Amino acid sequence: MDYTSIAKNIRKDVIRSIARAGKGHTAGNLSSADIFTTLYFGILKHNPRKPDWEERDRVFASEHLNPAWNTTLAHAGYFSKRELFLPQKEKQGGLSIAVGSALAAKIDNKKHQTYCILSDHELNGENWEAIMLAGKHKLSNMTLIIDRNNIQAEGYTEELMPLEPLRAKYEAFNWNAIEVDGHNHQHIFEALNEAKNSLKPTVIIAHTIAGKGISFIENKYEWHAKAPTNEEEQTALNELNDRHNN
Amino acid sequence: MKTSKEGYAEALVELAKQKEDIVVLSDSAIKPFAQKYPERFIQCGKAQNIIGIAAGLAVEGKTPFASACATKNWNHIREIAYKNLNVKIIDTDETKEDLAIARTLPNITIIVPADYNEAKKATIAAGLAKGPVYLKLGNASQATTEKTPFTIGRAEIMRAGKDCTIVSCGTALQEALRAAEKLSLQEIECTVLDCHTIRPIDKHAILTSARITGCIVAAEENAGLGTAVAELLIQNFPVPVRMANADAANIAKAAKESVLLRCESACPEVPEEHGRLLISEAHPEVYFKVHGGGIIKSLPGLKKALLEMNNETFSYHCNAHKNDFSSWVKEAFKEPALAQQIGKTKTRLGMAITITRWLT
Repeated sequence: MDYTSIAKNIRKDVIRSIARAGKGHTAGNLSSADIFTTLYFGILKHNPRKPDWEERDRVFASEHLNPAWNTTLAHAGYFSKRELFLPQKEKQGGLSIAVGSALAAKIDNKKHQTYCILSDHELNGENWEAIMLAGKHKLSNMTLIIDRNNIQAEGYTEELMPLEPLRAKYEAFNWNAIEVDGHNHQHIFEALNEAKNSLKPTVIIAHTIAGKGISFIENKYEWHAKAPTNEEEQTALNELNDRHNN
Repeated sequence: MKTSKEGYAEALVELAKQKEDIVVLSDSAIKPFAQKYPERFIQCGKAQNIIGIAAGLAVEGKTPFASACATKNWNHIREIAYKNLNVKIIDTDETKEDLAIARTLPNITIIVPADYNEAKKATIAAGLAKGPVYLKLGNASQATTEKTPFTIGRAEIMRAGKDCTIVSCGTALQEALRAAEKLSLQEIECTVLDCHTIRPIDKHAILTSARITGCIVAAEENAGLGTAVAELLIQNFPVPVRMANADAANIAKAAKESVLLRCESACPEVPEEHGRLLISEAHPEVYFKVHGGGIIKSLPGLKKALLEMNNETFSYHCNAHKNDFSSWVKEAFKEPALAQQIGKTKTRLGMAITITRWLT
């Protein structure tokens, strides 16, 4: 599976869709592209032709990651890429809903996995409560992936509201915690596999670079909630194409 | 007296027998459900995301009943409303403003059962209904019985009367019925509606009753029903509306004010159409001379005078020995039927309503 090539194409459509919308969280959607790619093209039990297949793995993600998520769905065959730029169907987001869904699966003894993708800047109170509940109920079918790109709207996460030691926090809540390079597809894949077999809920802390793939966006917190202009969109697409040719 | 909360708890067990997908979330054990169905009961502690977890369960096809502090879970409640998820919400915190806010969110059915019996029926109905439901359980109260019918969205007529309509819900229903009894002794007969469903509100019942009585009181413990009733009427059939809380004395006072407003606004000084009366204005020789000063020339004038005069003057004209008003109506306007009705009433307001009804 050529994850690199798929992720590149996803990044291109992410840039296009955010530019067209005129607003979006560019940096986070770029940094999480590899996570979405590995999940949907590597590990997920699903059928794009049957989006409501009862035995499918469930996926939840925060709303601001919709560009990356929708783009991945389109590339995976859920709908045509032309529809990417139309308003998308409402999806569910948030860790509380994901944990509720995983809980329902456990009550009914279902075998599917439940995944949730969040950014590191949204680990708020209700999310920690959900983490507590998942730990209490030993929701081994629950996997949380954190796009740890270390930025928020006004600066770097560790300066504004430090999260470290993050891994230890999860372990204290009886979760299994794995840290990976969020741009290494092989590592992400192995971590997702390990999560499937864990007896506890698992968090995969994926260390990423905000805006990964576009040189003038990488590591710039100003791009947390900024959309590219038409010019910037063109420059970004050129860059992605050049790197591909190299 | 059993409370609504006990009714809710008992109903959950009955509901669980009927439907396998019922799950219950709460910060405290809801007996006997938690004991009978431990695998379907989720103890959440005092969390601020109980409703969020419930949303996840609903997405997977469960029917969750979640007891939580509404004010701490608002962000989830609004998500459930906008996404029309099948979550049943019970507020544990006796919040005052929740019904008013819930009304502004789409899709949520809002039910305020009056007492233990109604809470049982409401819980079962909520469990069988599709979509989000907000169930507001109040303190101990007794207004309905086991036999009182219950359908979501249908107001029950607890008492019929033609002078004023009291629309109430929750613990105010009991008080409304008490107020109606008191008012009856003062010759004001009230219709009392058990309007347990604030949304979707029973438009037909409220509008029909408004057309019959011409004035409304909305009685409830907290804000929610009153504004819904007022909105409905102002858009379809404007009549005077007064709001009252769950207290019989206040409800009675509000009813009298509402009736007064109706009497004052109805019938102009000189009726424009003369068809309803044989004689619209009395002959100058038989103008009514009010004790202490003043002259009344017409029926609308009499109504106005009755509303304005003091009790002493009234007692002079209407007492055990005579009823000057009744006599005058018969003599000056040749309306024996109206005169007879006025002869039967003993209060100023009662007479004013009688005249108002006759003229409209």
